[in-house]
Amino acid sequence: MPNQRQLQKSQTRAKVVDVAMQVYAEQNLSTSTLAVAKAAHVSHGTIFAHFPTKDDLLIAMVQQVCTPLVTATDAATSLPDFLQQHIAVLTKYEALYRRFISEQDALPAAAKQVLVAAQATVAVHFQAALATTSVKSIAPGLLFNTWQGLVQYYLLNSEQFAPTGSVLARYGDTLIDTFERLIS
Amino acid sequence: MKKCIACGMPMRQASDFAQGNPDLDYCKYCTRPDGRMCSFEENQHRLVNLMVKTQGLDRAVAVAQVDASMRQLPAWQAHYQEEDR
Ligand SMILES: [Zn+2]
Repeated sequence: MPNQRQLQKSQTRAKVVDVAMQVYAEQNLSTSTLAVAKAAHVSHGTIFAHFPTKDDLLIAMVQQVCTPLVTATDAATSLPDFLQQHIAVLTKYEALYRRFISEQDALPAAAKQVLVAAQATVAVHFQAALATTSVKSIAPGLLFNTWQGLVQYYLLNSEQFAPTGSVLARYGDTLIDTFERLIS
Repeated sequence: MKKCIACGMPMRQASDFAQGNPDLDYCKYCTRPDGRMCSFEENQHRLVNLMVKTQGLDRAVAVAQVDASMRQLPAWQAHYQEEDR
């Protein structure tokens, strides 16, 4: 069993990641970790004790978003279920995920690798969900990219579709419905 | 939860494992017809084809991405150590 000290350490680490995710959802990825320290009410040294470099913190944040994306889509029992699970996780992390895709160059290679690997797994889950239903005869890769393109277009241009609030909360159901009708 | 040492897939139920045997460390997809684990080349080939099929990736890009993920998997550590020497 972890002792008190280890427990406290992992709680602090989790808190730092949590606050960092809020900070970087609001401010761009080039924001310094000092802003995270201030928002988390810890010293800059505390951040470095858990994440020796800012890249380490960015990798942890990307993992924090990718893990539920992979897990939720893995549990999907049908194509509509996959689309709903996918949208649900993306809605939860919408602002941060938008930064991950729009500011990709600000991410270290290891974080990009986590994103790429998660994307590959989500695509496999999409194909498994596809197999449960009958759809138009279109290459699975293109079907996945069409879905992905639709979601990302709304995410990247959210100021045109939902200037205030979450674009996926507002249009998620419409995107799912439209995609289903397009491919069936 | 166990993950396949050859492709990284999580194995939740007995049917996910090679030969339906949860004592094994690799999954049903990484198994040869005779029950043994597939080779490096067989695994690479399968994963590259899967990526090309599910994401429509350029084959060379898929090869590079599969290489990056296989480097992290327990089953291929010896292969990469040999290759990097
Ligand atoms: Zn496997």
